[in-house]
Amino acid sequence: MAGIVRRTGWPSGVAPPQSQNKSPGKNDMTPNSLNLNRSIHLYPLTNYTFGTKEPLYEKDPSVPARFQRMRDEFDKMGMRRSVEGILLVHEHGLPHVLLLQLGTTFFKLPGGELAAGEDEIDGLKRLMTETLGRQDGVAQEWVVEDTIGNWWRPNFEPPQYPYVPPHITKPKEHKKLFLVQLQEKALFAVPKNYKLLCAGSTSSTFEKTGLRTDYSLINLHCWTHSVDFEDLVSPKCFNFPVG
Amino acid sequence: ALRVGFVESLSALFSKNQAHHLITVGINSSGRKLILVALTAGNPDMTTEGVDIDLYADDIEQDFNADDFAGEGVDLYDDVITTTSGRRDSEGGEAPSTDNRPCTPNNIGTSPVSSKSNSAGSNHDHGRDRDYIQPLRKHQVYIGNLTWWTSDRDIQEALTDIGVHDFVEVKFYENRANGQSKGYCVLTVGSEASLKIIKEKFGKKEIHGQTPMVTPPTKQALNQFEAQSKTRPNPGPGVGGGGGGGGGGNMNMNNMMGGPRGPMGPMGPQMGMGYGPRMMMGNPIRGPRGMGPGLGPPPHRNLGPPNHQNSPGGGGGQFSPPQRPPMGGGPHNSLPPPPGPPQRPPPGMPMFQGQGPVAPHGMPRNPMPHNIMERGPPPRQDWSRPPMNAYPPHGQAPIPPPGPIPGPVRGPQGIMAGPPPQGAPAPHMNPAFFNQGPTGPPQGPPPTYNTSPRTTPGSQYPPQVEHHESSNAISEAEFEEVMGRNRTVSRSAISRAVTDAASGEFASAIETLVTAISLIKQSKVAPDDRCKILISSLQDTLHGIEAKSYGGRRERSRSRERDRHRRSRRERSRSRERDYRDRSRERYYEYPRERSRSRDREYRDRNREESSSSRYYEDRYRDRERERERERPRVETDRSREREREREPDREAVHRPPRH
Repeated sequence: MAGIVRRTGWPSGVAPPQSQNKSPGKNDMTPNSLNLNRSIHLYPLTNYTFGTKEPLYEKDPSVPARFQRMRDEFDKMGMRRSVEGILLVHEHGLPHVLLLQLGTTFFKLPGGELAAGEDEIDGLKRLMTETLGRQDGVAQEWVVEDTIGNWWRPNFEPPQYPYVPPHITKPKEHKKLFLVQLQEKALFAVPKNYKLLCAGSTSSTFEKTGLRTDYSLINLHCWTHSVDFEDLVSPKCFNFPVG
Repeated sequence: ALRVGFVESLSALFSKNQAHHLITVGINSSGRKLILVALTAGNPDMTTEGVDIDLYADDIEQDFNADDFAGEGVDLYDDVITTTSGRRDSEGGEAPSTDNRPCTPNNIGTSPVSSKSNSAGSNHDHGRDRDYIQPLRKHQVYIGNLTWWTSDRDIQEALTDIGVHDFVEVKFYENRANGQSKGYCVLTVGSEASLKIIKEKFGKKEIHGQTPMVTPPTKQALNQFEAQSKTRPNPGPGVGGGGGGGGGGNMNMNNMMGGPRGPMGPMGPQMGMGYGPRMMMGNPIRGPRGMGPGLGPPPHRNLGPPNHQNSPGGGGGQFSPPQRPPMGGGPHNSLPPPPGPPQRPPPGMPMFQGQGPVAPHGMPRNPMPHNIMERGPPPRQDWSRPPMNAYPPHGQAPIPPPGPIPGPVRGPQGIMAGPPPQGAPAPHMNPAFFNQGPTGPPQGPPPTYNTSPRTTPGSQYPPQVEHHESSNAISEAEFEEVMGRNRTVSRSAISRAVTDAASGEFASAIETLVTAISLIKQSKVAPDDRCKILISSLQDTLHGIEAKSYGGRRERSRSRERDRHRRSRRERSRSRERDYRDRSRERYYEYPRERSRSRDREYRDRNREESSSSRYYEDRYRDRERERERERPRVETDRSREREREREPDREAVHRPPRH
C-alpha cells in the first residue's frame, strides 16, 4: 500500500522510493515506469545464516543414467521442465550468486525438475525449500518475481542453448532461471553433501561453474535495474548500463 | 571422456549394488583438475554419499561451450553422447564396464555402417527399458543437403508423404557452439523396406526448396556433409563468424562435430568414453581433413590455415602461423602440390590425411608439427620424416595414403599420421632424405624426393594394406577406423595434456595421456606400428609433463632425476642426430623450435628447475640462451640450435658431453 515499502521484492503499487524519479510529478503506475527504475535490494552475505541438514542426493547416479531417465520421462511426460533460482547477496558491494557445490567439480543452482503439471513458481519454491529450506518449522518465504533466462536442450545431450534451434521441434528439456529476492535476514539449511558457495562475477569459482552465461544473463536482466547494497558503510546505489 | 569412463564404472557399480572400494575420477571441466574419490565399502548410502562425481559436468561444459568459442569447451564425451543418442540402445551399452568399452564401440560403430539387419523397429521401445543394452542393428541412413531450419517434423512429414510410416527417430548434426543444424542428419526407421523407399524417393522430395541427399550411413558420407556444411554461405557458426579467432574457433568446434563424428561415429563411444573433454583439442586440426577425399582443395585450403591458427589445442595454434612463413610458400600451398596423393588414398582412409600434403613440402613441415608435441617431439621427429622417406627402404611400413587434405594444419596429427614405420626403423633415417636435405631449400628435396616415394608406395600400398588386413584379421575400413580413432585419441590427448600442463594442471594432463596410451594399447590395431608410434609419442609427452610437474613441485631433489632423464633423452636423440649429421634437419628444427620456444616460455615461467638443468647444459655449452629454453625438448632444441649456429665445432662439443 502507499507508504509501505517492502524491502524485498519489487515495490507494488508504490512509486519506487529510492529510485531516481524521472519525472517527479508522475506517479502513474504504468508497468513501464514501474519497471524502468526498480531497485533490487541486496544484503550482505553476513546477514544470512546457513545451517546443515540431511544430504540431498541426485536422482541419477551417472551421466548416462541421467540421460536415460530423461529419455524415459520424455516419452511419458514430454519435455522436462526445470527451474532454477538465482539468489543474490552482496559482499562488499559486489553482487554474488549463491551456488551449490556437489563434490568438488559440480556446481549447480538451487532448483530442479518440476512435476507434471506443476506451476513454475510453486515448483521453484518447493524445490528451493527442499534444497535450502530451513528445518526449524518456520515457513520460508521465497520471493520469486523475475525470470532471468531460459535454456533449452535440443537433444538428450549436454548442450543447452538459450533458444530452441530452428530444426528442433521438440526440445527435450526447458530450464527456466528465476531471480529470487532474499529477505533482509534469513536462515538456510544446506544439505550435508553440498557446499554452498557465494560466487561473484569476478571469481574464478564462478568461471568454473560454467554459469558464466547464466550470470551474464543476470547481468542483462538484473543489473539493468539499480542495485542497493544494504549495510555498506557508505551506502551505494548502483546503476548498471543496460545489457 | 576420462571422466565418463570412470563414471561409467561407477554407475555399473551402483547398478550391481555392491560395496566396493572404488576410485573414481571427477574432472573439473574448466579447471581440468583430477579429483580422486575413494568409495569405501560398507556404506549403506553408497549410492551418492562420499562420492564426488561430476555428474553434470557436461552441463558445465556446455555452458562453457555456449560462449567459449575459441576454447576447449567441446567435449568429446558430448559428441559421444551425440553419436550414441542416435542409437539409443547403445548409450546404455556403454555403461556396464570399462572393459567393454573397447569392444562395445565396435559394435556400435559397425551398426550404422553395416547394412541394416532385420531387427524390427523395436529398438525404439525396448532399448529404453533397459539400461545396458547391446547395440542393435539399426536401419539408418544419412540425409544431407538440408537447410538449417529443416526440422525433424519436416523430415517426418516428408516420410509419410513417400509412404514410410515406421519413423523411429532423426538426429541432426549440430554445431556445438550454437546448436544450429549442420544440414544433415541420421534418420532411423523401423525396417529395411522403409530404407529402400527412402533411398528411392526421398531424394526427389524438396524440403524448404532444397533437395535432400540420401546416403548410406558411412563415414565418408558424413565427411562430405561436414564439408558441405562448412562451405555453405549460410552456416553462420563457422564461416566469418566472430572474427578470425572466434570464427575459426567455432569452425573448429563445428568441424569437430563432423569430423570426429565421421570417423568416430562408429567408434565414438569408446573414444568418447575415454576422453570426454579431452579429445576435442586435437580435433579441430582434424576437422578440415575430415572432409576427406573427393572434396575440392579450396574448402580445405580455406579452412586449413584459419583452423590451425585458431586451434584451441595447446600447441597447435601457436606455432603454425609463424611456421609457415619461414617454411616458404611451399608448405602453404599444400593443396596444389599433392596431385598424386589425393588419388591414391582409398576413400576409407580419411585418417591419413596428413601425409599427402605434408609429404611434398612436408620435410620442413614435419619437424614443425612435431615439435608442437612438446615433450615427445624432439626425439621423435624422425618419425615424421620417415613417412616420406621410408617407403622404399622400409617396405613393410604401411604407407599412410597421403591425404588430399590440407597440409597446413598438421599439428600433432601430422605426427600421428606421419610415422607409419615402427619405432625401430625410425632412427634410421632414409639416407635419401638427408642427402637431399642439405643441398637444396626445404622444398627442393621434398618434391623431387617425394614424388618418387609417392609412386613407389603407390604400388606398395595395396600390399601394405593387405598385409595389415591379414595380420589384424579386421577389415581394412575398420582397421583404418580404429587407426584413425587412435590417432585422434593420441592427438587430442596430447594437445589437451599440453594445455593442461601449460595451465599447471599436471595431474590431469598426465591422466589424459595415460588413458590415451591405455586406450590405444587396448585397441584392435595396437600391434600396428603406427599405434606404437602413437603410444610412444604419448609416452614422451607424458614423461615431459611428469618431469615438468615434478620440477615445479619439488625443488632440487627432482632436478637430478630430471637431468638424468633428460640426459638419457638427450643422449638418445643426440645419438640419433649424430647419425644423421644433418644440418638441414636442424634448419627444419629451427622453425619448430621458435614456435615451441615461445610456447615453452609460457610453460616454463614457473619452472626454475628447468633453468637449473638448463644450466647443467650451459656449463658445457656456455653462451647459449638456454635460460629461456629450459625444457627437455628445449634441451634437444638447444642442442640443435646450437648446432646450426655453430656447425661443426659445436657439434663436436655437443656430442662429447653426453658421452661421459
